[in-house]
Amino acid sequence: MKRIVFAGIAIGFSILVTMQACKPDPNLDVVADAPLGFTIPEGWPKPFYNFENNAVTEPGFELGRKLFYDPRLSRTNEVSCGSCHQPSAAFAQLDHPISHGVEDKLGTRNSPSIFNMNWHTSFFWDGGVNHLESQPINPIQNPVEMDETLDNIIAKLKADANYPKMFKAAFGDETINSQRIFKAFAQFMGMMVSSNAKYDKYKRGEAGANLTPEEQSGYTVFKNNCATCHIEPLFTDFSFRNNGIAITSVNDSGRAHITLDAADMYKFKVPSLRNLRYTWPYMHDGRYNNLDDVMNHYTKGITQSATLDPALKNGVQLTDKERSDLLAFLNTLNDEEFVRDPRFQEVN
Amino acid sequence: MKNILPLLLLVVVIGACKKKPDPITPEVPVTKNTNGELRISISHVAGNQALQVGKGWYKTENGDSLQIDKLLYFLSNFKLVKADGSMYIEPESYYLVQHKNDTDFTIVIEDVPPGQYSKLVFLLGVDSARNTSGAQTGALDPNSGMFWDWNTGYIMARLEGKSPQSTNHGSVIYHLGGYKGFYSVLREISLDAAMKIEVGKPVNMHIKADALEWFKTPNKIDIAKTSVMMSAGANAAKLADNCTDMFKIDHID
Ligand code: HEC
Ligand code: HEC
Repeated sequence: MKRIVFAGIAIGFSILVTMQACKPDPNLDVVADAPLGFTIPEGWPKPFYNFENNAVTEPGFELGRKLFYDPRLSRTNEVSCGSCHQPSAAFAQLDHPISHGVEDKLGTRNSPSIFNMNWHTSFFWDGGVNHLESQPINPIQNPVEMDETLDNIIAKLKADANYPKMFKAAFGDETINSQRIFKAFAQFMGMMVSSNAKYDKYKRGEAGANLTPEEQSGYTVFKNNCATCHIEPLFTDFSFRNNGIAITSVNDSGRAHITLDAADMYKFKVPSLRNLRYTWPYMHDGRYNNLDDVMNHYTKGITQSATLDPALKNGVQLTDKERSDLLAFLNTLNDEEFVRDPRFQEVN
Repeated sequence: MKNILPLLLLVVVIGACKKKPDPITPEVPVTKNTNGELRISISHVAGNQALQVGKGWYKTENGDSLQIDKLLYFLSNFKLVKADGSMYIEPESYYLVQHKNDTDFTIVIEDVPPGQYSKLVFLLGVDSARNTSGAQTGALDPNSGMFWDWNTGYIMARLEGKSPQSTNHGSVIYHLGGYKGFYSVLREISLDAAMKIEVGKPVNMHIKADALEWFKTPNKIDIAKTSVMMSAGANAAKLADNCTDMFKIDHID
């Protein structure tokens, strides 16, 4: 009898314990129930990164967004990722040929735009970084960018009133470590897909989305002269090429810095041609302020060198009409909806 | 019998709402009570003396004087191999070995099925998969400073110190990294070791790791010519070949 009573109490107790231990945490429920949809736009290839081991959730994405705009991730508490990657510039740094970091220290390269990152097979102009989750550590530690250590950032985040709760909502408990920070960043940046330009709507056959005769003819000019490297629909093939821009005193070796192969000297990752209206200045060092300068480069400014891409040996020959049509076509690649998307803006 | 039933229930019920396993560190079944354990303690030496970082001066094979300030390296993918070739592979097997004066570094390989083993095999460095699969944690957390952020990948081994022969302001800096093809510095190390693993009787293996081996064979290092090495390439791969003979089993008890 006694034993049965004891067993009864014990079972009751264990049920109680279970209920306590399994009490649904409101935040955890969000994790389980509301994965944010990442959809591959119609007709696009499979992404290189598809959130393996890092399913996107609302709280994970929101944490990534907060981190992205938080200047406390820099030593001086003044520079955030968003300082160099601004939404209105399609996440490039507006009007800055080269990046400006802590205490206005200058980098040597132009801050690239950030969108469609999940299709990138490598990161940075020289492709030195091999994974979206491994990317943020570089700007954080870079002395001319944010100049901060991971351990300091973790200490700052732990002392904050909100972050521990946000980490719990995103990852199940309040532990803050570099892995979780990088996964949250990847969730935020990975969701930034730009696929609603006029060109995209035209390709999808949406009602009213027609190209004008100029844009249509510019599309043909593009296919004939630019598409070996700037391949649709992402407008890059993610390869490393020398497009014949002149070597400057900085003498940035580009891809060769990573591969130590002379054949890769002065090659840089082919950038996307989407959202050019917002991302100026252009090229890895921001040397051209407008698309006219870029056109002048391809038509009459090609510098011959050992690693110049064969496709550009003779430059690009364009009539005035072809040139203005090409510019009209490039203009159809601007995605105002993406640039204004409230999901990617800073929140306070 | 009856009175352990409630206890069992309690365990089962609590177990039922255990946190979901971390997707990248798969849970291994807990079978400690039926398996044995290998404890590996690594003590660092410089030739025939105990390594004293920041204190001792040593002579390299080339006759250069050297003081070592830092010695760190990754060991991973431990395997215990039997004479018939069958083996126990430790899951999630990553260790960052950091030398501290007068202290051994201990690695405990748990859950080894009992039996007679003949070899210990491991990798010097972090396998290429973990260099290419994004954010890691634990021993692989990049906050250790053993990670290249400009050319993704772990610094597999790192030796820093001073030498009058150095042509870099008296300092010697070797960061061995690179996991790709020809320039990979990853080296599999296999040590003959007769070990009988039994339940409840941990086997203690004592390894001596000689820092001066970095400078010795097959590629004798002249510090005046090689004072700094901080990127992947043919030279790093040569230095990695030297590191391969760093580890000797002193005794097993
Ligand atoms: C001081 C300006 C600056 C800051 C701050 C900064 N970046 Fe960047 N970002 C750059 C520059 C410059 C590059 C190109 C670097 C290179 O190619 O060497 C870059 C490259 C990138 C890329 C790769 C894009 C591509 O096409 O390869 C991503 C992604 C990125 N940054 C995200 C971030 C995140 C996340 C943060 C915050 C942790 C951040 N950046 C902070 C300037 C900055
Ligand atoms: C041989 C490959 C190749 C061809 C062909 C090519 N490009 Fe490029 N393009 C590149 C590379 C590589 C870069 C980056 C160069 C750098 O920054 O050093 C680039 C950069 C650009 C940029 C700057 C983008 C930015 O965000 O900074 C624009 C705009 C551009 N190209 C337009 C064109 C147009 C228009 C054509 C056709 C007339 C064309 N390209 C043909 C390889 C090519």
